Amino acid sequence: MTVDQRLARVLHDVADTTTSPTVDVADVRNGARARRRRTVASIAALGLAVTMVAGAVVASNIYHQDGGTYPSPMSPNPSVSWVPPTPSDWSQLQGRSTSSVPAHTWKDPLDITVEGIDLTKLEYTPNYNGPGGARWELGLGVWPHPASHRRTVISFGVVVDSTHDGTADYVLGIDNDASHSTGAGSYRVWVTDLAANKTDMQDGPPYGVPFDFSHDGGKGNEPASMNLTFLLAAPFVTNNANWYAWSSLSKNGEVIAWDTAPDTGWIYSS
Amino acid sequence: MQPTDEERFTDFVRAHSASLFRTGYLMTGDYQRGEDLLQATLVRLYQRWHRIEAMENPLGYARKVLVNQATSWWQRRSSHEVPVLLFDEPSWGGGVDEATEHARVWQAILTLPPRQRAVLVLKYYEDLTEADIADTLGMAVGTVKSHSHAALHRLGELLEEPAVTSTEQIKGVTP
Repeated sequence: MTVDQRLARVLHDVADTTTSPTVDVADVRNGARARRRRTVASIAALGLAVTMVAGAVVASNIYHQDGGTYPSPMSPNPSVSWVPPTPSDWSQLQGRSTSSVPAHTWKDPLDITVEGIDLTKLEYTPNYNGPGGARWELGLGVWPHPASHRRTVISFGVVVDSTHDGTADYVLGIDNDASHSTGAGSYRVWVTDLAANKTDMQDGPPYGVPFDFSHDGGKGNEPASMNLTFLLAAPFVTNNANWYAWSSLSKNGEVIAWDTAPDTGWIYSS
Repeated sequence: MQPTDEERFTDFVRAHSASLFRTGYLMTGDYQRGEDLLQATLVRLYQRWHRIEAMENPLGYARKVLVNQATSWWQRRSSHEVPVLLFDEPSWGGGVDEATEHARVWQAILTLPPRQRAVLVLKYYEDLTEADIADTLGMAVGTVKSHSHAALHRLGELLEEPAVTSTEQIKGVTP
């Protein structure tokens, strides 16, 4: 018996001697609804926090420049300071997605040599999951190498100016720095209300709070790219919010590379 | 989802859930995890069924979702976990010698790195071509070949027993 035949036989024997579970489509339907409810619940909680904010200003006593070349690590931990850049000019989104879901896209040039954090494509879908909802997808030039992923903290996010005054109001972020107790490869997601100095964070699974996300792990239909999806809804995100995307790579607590897209300016999406 | 869509989704589940589960089980070696993978995959398919059923190969897409979910699970697992401790023991048919030998091979497969194991499962159980494996795993065909070669080489080391399959025989397999 050849090696090929031997492996095929063993795998088929294992599969054939394992009884498959009975699938109830009603359970699948309920699972899909529960998944959607979790997203909506997180959106509602987030929206409630946001509506409490009057006059969004950056809490400078919490977020301050560290004087270095790079900003401090972008993190949900308020003790780690970081001032989100405040662009002064605006950019209209370019083009529309060819997918069945109407979306606006922005192309950003390959300008960061560090793999895994070069933002090259942004896609914004208004009214996602209902009126007032929104979805962002951040495309990367290169998916982080797994080895890099283990040694470094890679973060992505969106900075939102929902009041159109040119000042950042909220920072949404996700990184791979979840507590070790949740297992390697877990994620930490957070939303920081800069005015209220309030961070809503989920450290590791189960996800869905404060917002949902998904990615293809670099193994999807677009090799060497990564999509990160945020799902939010009114009143946090309006269809007229200004925003830009950011990414950073930290090692030993120090940001060693970062990118924003657009490189300067807010994106005005309508 | 429209009633007609739901019916077609139900038909899809009936036709392919067992196959998808087995793939998930072979990739994780854990019955409960395989069941969870199947459920999570079907939930994702259900949410986008209208678009997925219009695809040329919905089953291929479903398999891709399942494999990616399995990989995500591997990524989340602590590197200190010992995979073999998690796996269920399948029941074996055949004689004692054959059962013992199959158990040895299965245990050896379970010790392979996730990508290598995934390549073997897709190649020897799903009987996919290298191009299809590459598409499913989102990697180049050359990478599939190298994973396959490395997996067979590793199995050869783990199953050093000339009477069954010589190490040289395994090492000599062209990926």
